[in-house]
Amino acid sequence: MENTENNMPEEKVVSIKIVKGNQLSETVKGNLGIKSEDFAEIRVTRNSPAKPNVTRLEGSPSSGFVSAIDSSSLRGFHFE
Amino acid sequence: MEDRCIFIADKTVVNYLLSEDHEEKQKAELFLDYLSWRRCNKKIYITPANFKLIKEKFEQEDDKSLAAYFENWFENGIELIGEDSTTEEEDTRSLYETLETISPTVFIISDELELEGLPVMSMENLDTYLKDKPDFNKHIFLTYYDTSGV
Repeated sequence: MENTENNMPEEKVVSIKIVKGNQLSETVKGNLGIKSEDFAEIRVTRNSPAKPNVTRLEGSPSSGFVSAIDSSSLRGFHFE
Repeated sequence: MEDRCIFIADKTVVNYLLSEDHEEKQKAELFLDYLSWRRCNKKIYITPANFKLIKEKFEQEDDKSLAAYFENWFENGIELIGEDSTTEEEDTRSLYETLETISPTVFIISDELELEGLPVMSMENLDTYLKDKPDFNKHIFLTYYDTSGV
């Protein structure tokens, strides 16, 4: 996280919401070039204050979740 | 009718997502994609004990994004049935009976639970069920496989 370079507390993810483009406001869609049929991720991080970041998903709606699992140590973990 | 369908799951869907087996992983991903495609099917209900167990494990990782993704797709049943105080089978049955009052179709997704008289669907059968939906298949093809417009 870039804020750690300035000795700021590391940002933590508060929530992630996967939505279709048609659920976003016209302002966000227009500004970010997201089409109604696209999927987008709204990621809210909190350092202070909380900040939403909207990105268009290039892959499937679950692609971010799968990437997060691949980046973790839990690939292959099994809940009993 | 299928738009109002509600799903309940135990740990099976998450275990498939975490699996190193490509086919298992794909089955779980297809299910999550289906939930995103059908807006009112957005979340999978899960018993309070399983929700807590999985969320706490995910929260131990990195910047908490795993737990946040988990909460995007999974709904803690605690608001419907309260704190877990019985067995997983009994809590799942309570969730089913509660959700059945508001939805014409409720499915329980599990490879392990056996609940007499309730519709428990294995991941294999869920995969077949989803792939049998023409509209969803068309969406998957047009979104991920169709290169005719390129």
